[in-house]
Amino acid sequence: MRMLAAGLLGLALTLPAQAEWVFADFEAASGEPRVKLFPHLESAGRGNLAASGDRLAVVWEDNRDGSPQVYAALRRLDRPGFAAPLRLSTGREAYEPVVVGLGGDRFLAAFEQDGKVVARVFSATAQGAPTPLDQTVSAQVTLAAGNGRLHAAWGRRDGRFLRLVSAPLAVDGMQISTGAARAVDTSPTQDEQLYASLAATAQGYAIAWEDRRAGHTRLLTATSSDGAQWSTPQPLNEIPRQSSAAELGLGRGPGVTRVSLAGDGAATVAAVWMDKRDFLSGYDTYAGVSADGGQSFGANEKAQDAFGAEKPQWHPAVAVTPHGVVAAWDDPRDDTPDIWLSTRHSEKEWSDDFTVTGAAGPGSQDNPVLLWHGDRLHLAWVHKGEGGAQVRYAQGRWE
Amino acid sequence: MNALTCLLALATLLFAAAVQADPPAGYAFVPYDEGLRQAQASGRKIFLYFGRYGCAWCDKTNKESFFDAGLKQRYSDNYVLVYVDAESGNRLTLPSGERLTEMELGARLNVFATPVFLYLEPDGSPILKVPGFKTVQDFRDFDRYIQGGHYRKMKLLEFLAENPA
Repeated sequence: MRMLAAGLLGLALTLPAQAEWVFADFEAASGEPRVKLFPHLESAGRGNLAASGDRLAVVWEDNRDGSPQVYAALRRLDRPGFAAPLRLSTGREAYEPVVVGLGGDRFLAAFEQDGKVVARVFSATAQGAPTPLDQTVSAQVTLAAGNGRLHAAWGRRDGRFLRLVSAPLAVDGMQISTGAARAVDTSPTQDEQLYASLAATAQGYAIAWEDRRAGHTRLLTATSSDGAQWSTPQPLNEIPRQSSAAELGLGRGPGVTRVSLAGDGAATVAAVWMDKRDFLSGYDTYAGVSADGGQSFGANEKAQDAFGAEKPQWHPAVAVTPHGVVAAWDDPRDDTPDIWLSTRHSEKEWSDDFTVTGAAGPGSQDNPVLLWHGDRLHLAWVHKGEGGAQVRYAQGRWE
Repeated sequence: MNALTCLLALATLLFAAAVQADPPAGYAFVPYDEGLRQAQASGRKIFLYFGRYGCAWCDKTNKESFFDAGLKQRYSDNYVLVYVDAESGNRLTLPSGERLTEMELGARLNVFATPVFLYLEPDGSPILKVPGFKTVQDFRDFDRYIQGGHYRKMKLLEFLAENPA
């Protein structure tokens, strides 16, 4: 027996400790919470975090100036503490900001302002002029930067519907120039194309969006080498073959919504979205992973574990890391919304769900956004407590 | 445009209307924030319908329950009718002043499935939440429970047991 115990102890000591995400203490990004201050981390593709040079930027919308406006906060990547928020928007109201890094500590933000999509270059010390990306009614902008190129996609009002268009962007100093905006899908407009998400790949770009043309919402994807011509849209979400509703000739499909893409800049592109194929417990977080730059995605995978099965999952975000694809979302399995994460170790193999200190517990924690940069996983979310709401941030490392 | 083209256009419109799970035709549904304003001005309670584009059970409810003329009259008389698309990015203003999307309102109210029907006081505070397909009789029963003020004294099931249709 003594020999067996000694052997087991020796075995335990020789096994490598299992690596996991370890997060530093959270920080406030949007300043102190205030009563009736309502910060929102909402955007097409959940692209509210970016890094550039030695800085990290988070962008959000809140009403601190009396109307919904867009703000950014910057911190050093290697040093805790965000600087005071910068206001980026200049109109009557602004919503749904996204951001990418431009290098040299500059960032490009894009958002909806007074019913049109605009973009603005900013850094810790300077801001360029807000530049309209579209002269017509437009919304839900998403950005991608990679391989020295910049691209934007958004919904442009075309009659009754938003139609997805995309355009190349160029930045010179603090000035933005916009190339021709072209329809991502050139077939006739029949219904809404909503909430697109762009990712840069080694071959060009991948895009995913909500498409309502089939009488229900489908998620479609396409790729482009130059952003001017896009491949024929491919379905991303799988639709169950049999359902009692379909047999009755009712409805068209299960609910799917708010797809987010992330890539590693090479061939891997990951998508997450809210999927109600199991409608009794609300949305689940589903994922698809592409190994060919978004040209094809593997089978749909449920990202969350069984402990989240009885509760709806909301606001999924995704990052591609060398340690696996990471999904984050919020759900109320412990009565109030908390941030939950899961890491994909291999095909259809996701870790147990885990939380981050400060992103779970009293109050409400929701609307996560993710970024992998500089060997760190960057996470921001909205915390709501008795004293008000604020955007919070924490960074994690794999160890 | 010749007659055939007109017919095709009409058929396309009808098809488009049929496959959507929008609010049922002929009802005066309004957005959530507009409904709150109307309810506070009129003192009427709110009937809030959370639907979803392509939602099968919303479709069934529209076709089999809200099609009923008596139910339409009853609900139009008794409630401010509010419809929310649970996946929409349409923006609303809450009484707190917060601006948020219809989908976010669904997340806040934990609307995990569609359809979901909520009965609200004129100030927006919830009285009753019922998920899933409901028959004409179900809606009549809920209306008796709400309009009679019975929700202040007993649970819905107790009320229905004591007061069958």
